[in-house]
Amino acid sequence: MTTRLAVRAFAFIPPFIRCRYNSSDSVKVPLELIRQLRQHVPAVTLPLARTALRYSGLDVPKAVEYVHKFDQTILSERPGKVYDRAAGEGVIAISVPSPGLGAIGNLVRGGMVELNCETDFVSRSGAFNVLATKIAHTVAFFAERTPDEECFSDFDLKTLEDAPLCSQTGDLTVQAAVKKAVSEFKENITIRRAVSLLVQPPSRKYIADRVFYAGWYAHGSHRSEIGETGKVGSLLLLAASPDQISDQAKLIEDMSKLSKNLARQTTGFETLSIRTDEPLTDADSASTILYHQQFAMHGTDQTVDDVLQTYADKWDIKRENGVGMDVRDLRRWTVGEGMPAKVDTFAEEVRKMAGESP
Amino acid sequence: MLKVYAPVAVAAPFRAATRSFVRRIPNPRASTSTQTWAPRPSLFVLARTYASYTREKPHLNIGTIGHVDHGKTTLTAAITKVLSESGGAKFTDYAQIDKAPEEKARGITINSAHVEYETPARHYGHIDCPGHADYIKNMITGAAQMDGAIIVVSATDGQMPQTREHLLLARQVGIQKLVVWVNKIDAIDDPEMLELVEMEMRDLLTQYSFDGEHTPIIMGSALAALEGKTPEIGSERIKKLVQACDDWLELPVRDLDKPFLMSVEGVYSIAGRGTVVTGRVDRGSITKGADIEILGLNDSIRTTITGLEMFHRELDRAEAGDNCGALLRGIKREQVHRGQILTVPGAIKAHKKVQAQVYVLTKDEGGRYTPFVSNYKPQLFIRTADITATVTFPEGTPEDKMVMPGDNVEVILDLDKNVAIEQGSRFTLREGNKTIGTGIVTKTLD
Ligand SMILES: Nc1nc2c(ncn2[C@@H]2O[C@H](COP(=O)(O)OP(=O)(O)OP(=O)(O)O)[C@@H](O)[C@H]2O)c(=O)[nH]1
Ligand SMILES: [Mg+2]
Repeated sequence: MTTRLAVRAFAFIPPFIRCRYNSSDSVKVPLELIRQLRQHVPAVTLPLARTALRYSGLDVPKAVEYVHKFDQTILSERPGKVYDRAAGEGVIAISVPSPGLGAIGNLVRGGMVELNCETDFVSRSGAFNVLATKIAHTVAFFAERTPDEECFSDFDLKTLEDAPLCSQTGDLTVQAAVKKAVSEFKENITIRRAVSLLVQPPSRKYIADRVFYAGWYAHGSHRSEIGETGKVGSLLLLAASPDQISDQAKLIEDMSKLSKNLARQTTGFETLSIRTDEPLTDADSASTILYHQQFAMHGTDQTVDDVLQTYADKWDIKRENGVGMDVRDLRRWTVGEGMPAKVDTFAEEVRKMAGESP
Repeated sequence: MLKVYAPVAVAAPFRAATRSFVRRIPNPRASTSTQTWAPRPSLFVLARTYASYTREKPHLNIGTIGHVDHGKTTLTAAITKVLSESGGAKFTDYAQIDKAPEEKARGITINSAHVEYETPARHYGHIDCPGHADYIKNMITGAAQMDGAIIVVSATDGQMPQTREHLLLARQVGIQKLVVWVNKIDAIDDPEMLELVEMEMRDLLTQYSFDGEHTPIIMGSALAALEGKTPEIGSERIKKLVQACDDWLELPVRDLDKPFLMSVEGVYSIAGRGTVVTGRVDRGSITKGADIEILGLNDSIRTTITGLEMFHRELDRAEAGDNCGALLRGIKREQVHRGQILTVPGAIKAHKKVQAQVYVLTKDEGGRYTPFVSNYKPQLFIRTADITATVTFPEGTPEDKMVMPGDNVEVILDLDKNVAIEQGSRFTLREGNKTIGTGIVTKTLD
């Protein structure tokens, strides 16, 4: 039992530190220096900060170097036991660097990922959300056209791990960044899924459409310049086929507003599909079919289908079979969906522990 | 022995919001001078749950918060073990640890198993706090509550980036005082390391406006205590920790010790006597002849209680938990309404605008299927009052904010009529016959 514990406690301390770890004859490290070191490398743990300062003779810049070297060591280590633990919390992060009409090349480029951790204490922290957004941005950045030009495509997780993390100074791969987060939070952190959205007009797949706009929304509180994160997230493609564009700025305004509200709608209302050819039923508002829902997030009693029709009419577009002014595809993700729900076994565990001991 | 409560799932409508009794209108012809109305027999049961007021030892709910694997469960097991061995203490059998069991939000899946133990000075109910959202939900619904907390930090790691989130949670739920347990000191043989952990924790506590200087920080090995090894860092330290909890963590004010408050359930006019108001005393106590204020629903009247009755008996005094009738001097039946309260003048104020934490029920819990946005208008139920509320969000909230079933959310509530309400008041939000949310007031505004 004791050896197992020791191994656990030291799992993240590489051998060259481990040998000095317990030495009591070392120099005293003033807390002030630890504070200074942490200003340079905020997430460094206390034992590491202390060891780094000792090794560098209480010189802060040298200790910073030491910590970086330590990071490299961690990254080259085999994944530890932490990776066996269930990670059911986390965030959905979305980044859309290029939303479509009006952007360079009218390009639609976006990415969405689910990044998991073990507790929502970690998923609430700023650093975790920033990491998730950067990974989503990386997905968007490295998305490539697939042979069938499908707008959404699942992003291979192995490829993603080896990609350099976007908006990151220095050359950290996604995998290294995740490992680093694991060593800082000491929680299992994993990328569960990633999807990219890419349309480069004119598109062979969406041949009937001339213009595209991405809609995205994450239900949560973290937003930044490169994206947003939340517990539920939606990413969708709105496409339109106007014969001529009389006022492009106005069309962009309409499409961006409409696509944003569509994404809020699909996030807020459990949405499993876009449309059916069946006639609309009475249970519109509770429907999981987007076009049947009352478009509450657009501030109206009309259904989503009716609102799209209104916009189509406004731009003189004929809608047919889900083409004209329509949602061509969407993804809606909820954190931890499909994972086994956690149960509170605390009292049971305590009783067992207290009972079992001699 | 050790009492352990498993999570329960209950699916009945909220009783707090729907409670209604004393529906029997007194028959004036049958009335005599001594008895005028009769409560339902079920009231006796309700009154009996308040036997808890006569507990010998004061009760405190505490929780353990800390990083995964730092030893929260081991520590709790160690505490129960050490306490049961130290002779004087026994694990006592209480059916309920919550202050107001009938106020407990029903219809919600309650996920809060707890452990109870007893020190020479107090009873403790102990919960684990593995996540922020789960705890906030339990706190709002009243399913689990922490009056104080033990922050568990492993000496091998020291404070972690998420320790800040742990302290934020404690702050958010109004915990004033904490005790810190630095665990796993058996795995450290450099005392200086412990000094650093302590200094850092004191620093962080101060940053989050806890008393960093005086907060007790106890260091030890929960595992050693549990396994009965090295008592110097095991059981001895656990005893120190428990002592620190007894000494440092403050008891919440008992309902009985708060100023008198009784919610008006029914109002009756009794020939030859005057107006009688029936209801339950929520807190405090009152004696015959006391001056009181009738408050809420935009009216406030002062008067005197000239008589108190309970179960066909005249009383001199009524206290928290009692269902009684109060005879009011010089008040007409039309002047008092269900939904108002009787209180000691000035003890509580009526408000029209409050800030609150709300948990929005999921559809599986009987709540809404769809999200809502700013300006949503549900009914607010508090005690016996039922008021239309307009929901908006605190300043700085993005305009496109929406609230989905399952969310914990901070809201501003504008009420149609004023109502006696204060920080810590619990309420439910309903839509038609459906309870869609439950909340707790964090601040009164107007
Ligand atoms: N060396 C040492 N190990 C300990 C001590 N206390 C707990 N542990 C070990 O640390 C590990 C985690 O302990 P738990 O009590 O399960 O930790 P926890 O905080 O409840 O973990 P979660 O419930 O997963 O968040 C177990 O292997 C314990 O045996 C201690 O004082 N010293
Ligand atoms: Mg545990």
